[in-house]
Amino acid sequence: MTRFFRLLRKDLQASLLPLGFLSGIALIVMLFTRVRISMGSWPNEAALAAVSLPLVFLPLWLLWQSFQTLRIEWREDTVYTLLVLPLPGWKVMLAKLAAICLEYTILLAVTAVGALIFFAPQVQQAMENLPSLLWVIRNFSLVYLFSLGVLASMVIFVQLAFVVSKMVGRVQGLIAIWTLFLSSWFVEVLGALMEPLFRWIPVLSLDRLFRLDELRAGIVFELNLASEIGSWLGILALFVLTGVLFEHFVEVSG
Amino acid sequence: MSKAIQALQIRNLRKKYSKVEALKGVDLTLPQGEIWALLGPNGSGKSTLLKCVVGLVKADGGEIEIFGDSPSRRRKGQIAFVPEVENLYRWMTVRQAVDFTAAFYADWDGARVAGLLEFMGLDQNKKVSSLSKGMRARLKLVLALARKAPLLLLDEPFSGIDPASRDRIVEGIVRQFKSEEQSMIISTHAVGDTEQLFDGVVFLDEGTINLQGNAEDLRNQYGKSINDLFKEVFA
Amino acid sequence: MNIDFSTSIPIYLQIIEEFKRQIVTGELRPGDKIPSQRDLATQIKVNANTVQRAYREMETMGLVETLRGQGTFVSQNQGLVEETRIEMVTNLVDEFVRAVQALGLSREAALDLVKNRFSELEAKKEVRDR
Repeated sequence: MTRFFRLLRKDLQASLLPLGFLSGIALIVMLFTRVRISMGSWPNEAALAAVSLPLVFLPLWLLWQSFQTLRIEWREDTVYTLLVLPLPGWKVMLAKLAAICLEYTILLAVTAVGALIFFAPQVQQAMENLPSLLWVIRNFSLVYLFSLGVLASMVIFVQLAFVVSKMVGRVQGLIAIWTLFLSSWFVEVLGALMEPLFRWIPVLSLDRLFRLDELRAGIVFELNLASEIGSWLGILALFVLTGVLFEHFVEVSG
Repeated sequence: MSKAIQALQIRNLRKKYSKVEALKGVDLTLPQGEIWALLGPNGSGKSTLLKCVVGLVKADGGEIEIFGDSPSRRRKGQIAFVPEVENLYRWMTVRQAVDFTAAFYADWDGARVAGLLEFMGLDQNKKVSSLSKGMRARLKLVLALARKAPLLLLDEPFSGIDPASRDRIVEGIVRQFKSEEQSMIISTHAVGDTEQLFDGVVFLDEGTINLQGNAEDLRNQYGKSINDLFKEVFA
Repeated sequence: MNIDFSTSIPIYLQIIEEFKRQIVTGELRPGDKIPSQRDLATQIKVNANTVQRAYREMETMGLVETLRGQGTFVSQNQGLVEETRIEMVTNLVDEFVRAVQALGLSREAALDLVKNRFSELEAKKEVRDR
């Protein structure tokens, strides 16, 4: 376990610089917006935009980062260190995945704290239209967990695509894109094929999960878990595959 | 009849990169407790051979036995491999690089580290990226020698570094190498003044071994230094 | 100890030669302790196995003795210094004789030449020493 945390710590330390940079940008954008609002030159709604902006770019950056963290290991030859470690491949990959998830969490927290500091009045105003503080915390946590799950599965696709591309000598980019395409198709198909197996699982009512009735908006939306479970298993299988490929089949070039 | 277990036994190892045949059926035996030189010009397949042993490159055919076993995760943990490339994380300090390596190897000998760093003249607080090429080579060697690894594979440890670092590295190897429990292969394209390090030598040329044997026997047999023999073989 | 290696001769033989030379010239006396194998290896930057081989051979030859836990010592054997001296000189003489024979000089002429050279070199040395 300590070996895993060593790897995780290394991956976090390695991305400390961009992490700090992005946090700084997010805070500066919010501070700037706050100043403009108090000067009266921007409307109150600008606060929402300033908070959403990082939330939109964040996942994109993190996906890029999940590719970048592997690419740098190859470019800087540190992959020579990584590949000779007496560790299962999945541990190396899991450390990178966990680092991305942690970076996501840290950046979210920075944005949230920034919003509370810079836009306290606007936050308070928004709260008045929402059922309760508990409702807010609960729903934010749920959204966080869902988005984390989606992010993690996308990172797994990227990792697999990268590792597969490193197994061929040429046209690595093309191979990576094809792997992305094929693996997402595989996950999709697996979900559909296994759907009958999991039909006994009741449909997840998202409106109830998120207590949307408390908004009295009459929204109903549902998630058919039966068709998702196969996909989740598929993603897990892809992750295991990435680990095996990394440990046993990837070569350093030259 | 029991046969002695060799530190490394390679049979008919073959490897082809897209068009180039890097190894054309190489046989090599490293007896336990010895230091062997893997000699050959650039591109002769030395690096590929070592990479195959440690799993960085997958052979197309042939067998590799490490202390009698086929390569595995456990055996990987018993090999200290020093690649020719700069494999250290540049943003780490010397201390961090040491701690990082220590975490992964059960044979790490913490008691050796401070002495080794001092002997090599390495400042623990310096960043890897701020070290000279020779100093980085020294650090790479420290990370290998601080382990009680049964098998050490050094790929071109003397190449492209200053004479002082080269000297320190040679002396470091002589000092730290424990023939009772360790075996070593050092690849190099220039024997120069390092030949007194070796028990045995293997000459590798274009993926084929054309001469190998005990260094002293070869000196006796040919009346030449290994360095001169090397020049002759690759003339 | 410092050895300027000629790497065309097996290194362990050169190590043995160096110890013999030191014993004959009195740099090392019977009973003196010689460096441990590892120390010597580090000092002259030679593979420890090579030094080990040299020490083993020297023990077999009766040149040195290893006492458990105490180290390796030059043998106390009385005749050792003289024997080694004779042996080393004999080797040189053998070389000389073979060379002389190859160059076609007679035994008498060669011996005369040796005597003459002795006298001349000793005379020069006296002049220099004065």
